[in-house]
Amino acid sequence: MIRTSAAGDGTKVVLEGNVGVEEIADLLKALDAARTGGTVDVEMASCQSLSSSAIGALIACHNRLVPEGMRLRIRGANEDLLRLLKLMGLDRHFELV
Amino acid sequence: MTVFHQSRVLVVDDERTNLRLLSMVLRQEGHLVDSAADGPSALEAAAMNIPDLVLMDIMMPGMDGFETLRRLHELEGCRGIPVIFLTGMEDLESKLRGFALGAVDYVVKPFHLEEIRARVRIHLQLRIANRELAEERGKRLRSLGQAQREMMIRPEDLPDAKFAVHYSPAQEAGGDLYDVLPLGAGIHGYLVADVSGHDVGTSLVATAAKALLHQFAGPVYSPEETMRLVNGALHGWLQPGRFLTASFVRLNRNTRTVRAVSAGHPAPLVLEADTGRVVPLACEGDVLGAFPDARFGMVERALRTGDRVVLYTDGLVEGRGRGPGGPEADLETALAEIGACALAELPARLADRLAGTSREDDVLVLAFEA
Repeated sequence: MIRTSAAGDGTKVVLEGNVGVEEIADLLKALDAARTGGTVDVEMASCQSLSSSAIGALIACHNRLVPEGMRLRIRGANEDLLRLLKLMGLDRHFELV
Repeated sequence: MTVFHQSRVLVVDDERTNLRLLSMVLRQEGHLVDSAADGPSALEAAAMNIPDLVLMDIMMPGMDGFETLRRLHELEGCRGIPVIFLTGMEDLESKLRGFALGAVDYVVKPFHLEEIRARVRIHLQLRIANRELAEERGKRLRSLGQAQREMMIRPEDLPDAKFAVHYSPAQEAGGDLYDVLPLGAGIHGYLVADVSGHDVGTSLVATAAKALLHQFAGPVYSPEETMRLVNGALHGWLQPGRFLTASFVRLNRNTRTVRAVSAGHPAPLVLEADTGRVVPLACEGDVLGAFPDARFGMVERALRTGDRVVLYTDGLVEGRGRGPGGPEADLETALAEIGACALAELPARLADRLAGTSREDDVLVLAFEA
């Protein structure tokens, strides 16, 4: 499930449960809506798994942020997701906290 | 000669007069009509002859229309059958509850026969159009899958490469791919890759990636340079959000060295013939096609005659080994235990042991021997 939540002056995107191909349209919409400040925060503390399409959506968002001097920050990803993101080399592109 | 499909409509209503009248009108329209006076009889009729559309009263004694619809969609072959509710209730809550359960339309009693005819016609047309669309998509996937299989090299096509492979796509045409290329006397390249997503587009990307690999895998390029060149070409062409993960390994049997490069992919595993030890060919690298300035790590290692290398996609270990060892721990254990079997059997045995039959992802395992 995808939802947005107020965070400071901006909006953060919250991913919950298993984010599969059915949620991609909502995820893209939420990521787009969150492009308001210097950083797009994606909260993953309640996220169990990400499909490859969901990871693709995060990459596409990152690639649109970089030319605008912005960045994507992943918060609270569990151990399995962190291992997956690192295996894919995404820790060199996203900020993982 | 064109053969027209006669649609079958199931009418369900506890009011006998309505049941007779609706059945008669729909038969006059040229449809096959079954009728039932209550929910259990409707389920029995649907199980015997799967209808194309159901026209059903909500308020019935015993099992009401909502419950009958829910159970109907659980019957084999009946999932997604359009149901039009007949109801005396105009309240929004009932309508929303019906739609949430999968109803496609409502007709409020007292109904007009012309309205019934029109709504039944529209929903049957939609049903037929959707079925044709699904059949067409299935045909395209099957032909794409066939083309994909024909393009995949088989061990007997290149015996010097001493490889075996097991590929089980989750759909007709999958997003995993492999290739084995002769790169000079005693030198072979082995690729295993996984395209993001699970749609028709993944197969097209897989085909393009193989063509690019053939273009850039020549002996004048290192495996790392091959990946950079493939990445550069894919990045200018792939849609945003689409990417591949890949492992590319080059084995030089003359020097007994193997060089592996990773593009965000699980590390290949080496099974040492003399010690039985399993050692990952681990290195870091970006995924392919997503970043213009992607970097790819490379690792080199000496091999002995009989050593085996296993490349795979994550479908093999999906859902396994949650914990510090990660999913690879189960694979390493399995490889240590069964890795000495005949090379031709190894990929399928690993897939049987680890992936099982209940899965949503493609499973690809490629093994070769030095």
